Amino acid sequence: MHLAAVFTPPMAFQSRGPRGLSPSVSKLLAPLAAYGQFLYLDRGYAFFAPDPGPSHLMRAVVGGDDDGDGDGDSNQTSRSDLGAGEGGADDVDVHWYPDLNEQWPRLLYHRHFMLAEFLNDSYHPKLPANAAQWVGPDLPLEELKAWRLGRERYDSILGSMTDHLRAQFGERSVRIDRVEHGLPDFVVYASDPTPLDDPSTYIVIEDISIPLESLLDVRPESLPPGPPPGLGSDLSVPAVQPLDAPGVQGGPVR
Amino acid sequence: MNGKFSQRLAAERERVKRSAADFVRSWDAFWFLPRHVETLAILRILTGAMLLYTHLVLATDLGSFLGVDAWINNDTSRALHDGRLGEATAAWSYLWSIDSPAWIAAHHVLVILASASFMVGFLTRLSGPLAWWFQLMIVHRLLGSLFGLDQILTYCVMYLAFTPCGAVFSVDAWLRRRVLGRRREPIWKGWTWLLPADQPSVAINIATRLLQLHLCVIYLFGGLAKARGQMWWDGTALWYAVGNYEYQSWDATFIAAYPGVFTALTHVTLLWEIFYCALVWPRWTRPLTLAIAVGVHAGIGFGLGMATFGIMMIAANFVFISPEWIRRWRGPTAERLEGPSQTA
Repeated sequence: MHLAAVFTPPMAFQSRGPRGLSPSVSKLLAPLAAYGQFLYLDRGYAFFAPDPGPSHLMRAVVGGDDDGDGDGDSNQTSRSDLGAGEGGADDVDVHWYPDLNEQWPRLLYHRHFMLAEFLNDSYHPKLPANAAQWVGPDLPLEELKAWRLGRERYDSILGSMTDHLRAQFGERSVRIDRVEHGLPDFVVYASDPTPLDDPSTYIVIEDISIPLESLLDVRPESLPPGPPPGLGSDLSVPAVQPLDAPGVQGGPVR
Repeated sequence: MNGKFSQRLAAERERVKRSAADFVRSWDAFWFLPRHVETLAILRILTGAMLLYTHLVLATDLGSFLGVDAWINNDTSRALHDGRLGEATAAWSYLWSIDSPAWIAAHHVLVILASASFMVGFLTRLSGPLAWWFQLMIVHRLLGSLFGLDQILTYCVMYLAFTPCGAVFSVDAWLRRRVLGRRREPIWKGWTWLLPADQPSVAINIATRLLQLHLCVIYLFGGLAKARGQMWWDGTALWYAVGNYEYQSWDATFIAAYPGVFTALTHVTLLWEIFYCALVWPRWTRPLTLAIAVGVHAGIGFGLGMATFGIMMIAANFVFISPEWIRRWRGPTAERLEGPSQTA
């Protein structure tokens, strides 16, 4: 039984296709799921897979305007633009997570790095305000519920992280931005070795509503793979974000 | 004609019977032949040291990871598991219910003590299961900040927890000599369980086999997951790992000028991961398979900023080293204490 519980979760992780999890693997997994979850065996072991992708960071803007609409200094995307520990304005501090200057030893830095990736993996775009009125053949109710739950989950995680920073920085206002750090192509890099932390390689990922057209275009079979029943992803959180959602790029890297 | 056919049929039947008996014997030996403890004892020290280190690092910023003001606070962590924010899982932790910073700190002191006891082999029969239990509760609570290190660490302590891995290289071994001396019959029989003797055991073999097979599953699916990507086939994956600024602990970007080198290393990594589960068992391919494991994980540890993960994966691969080798290195001490015996 134990060996089956070791083998089945990564098998399930790989055997989910556009139509869902392989029924045979699903049947095998069902009786083992709880055992595997409790013993932390419900992993996919997909390290740097299927392809290495860009990193995701968190930029926390402490103080100033915290309306979270992504305006103001969100155009300043690199650490060097804003400084590692303090912002341009007198009453605004900017902190990056992860940051080798603030988190030491390396294991602590890596835990913060994983938190930033976790927030990004959990991202789910906002729904249009009138999404409910489109429930029907193009937007089944179950699908709408899944979208809403996904967004609620993201909001809870973001809210928890914001509360943490607010408590840490003396109840000042906090806004967390997700930032993607791209990877250079080796041909370009070999001919022109631009520093890896060049400002142009950082992009703030905006949080905007998914357009109604995109929402109605997304069929269940085109949703990206979430974990099969009873199986957490490597983050133990079902992922149901659309591939074509704005601001969602690349896969998890760890 | 019929007689010849009957003879051949009988011979064939006999051959199948012998093969089946051989298989059963091999299966039985694979799982149930007693094994010496040295390999698992060294793995216990390495695992215990890494457990202790991870818990000490956590202690330096405990409030950020446990409690009501953590990055993922108690309520959110619970909601991510209990079905309110997705599918319910069985990954339960009582740490969701501990709000008081003082209680969290007191609990963490216990966690550190259990890890340290496990590392030095003090009351290992108790500290092993306790260290494993604490580790499970913490990983279920630390959702969001976990990575490969936490997985391999949890598995190693899980398989070691219920073995007599404190029989050698431990405080228990010293205590056993002090308490029991050369007495065969102790005053209290529980001593022989609490302070296990340095002798081959089936439990040690089962734990060894389970960890070995678990490693095979990890590498197989790690390799298969990579095989679904494009960069692992066109050979550029290693560059994109090396060129990732957030992972980087050693600037190896000079390798961009040598595509022949990094593409070859990418292909070796992919094929090694997929075929590890087959190549690690035969005696003549095992040394090379383990040597590549050391190379790959040392590279991850040194270059990609995950020294803890790299060290722990190399330590886990150590489970393929025969305890007889270490026993020979220990020399006459081991034989004098317990005497020779037939083992896996």
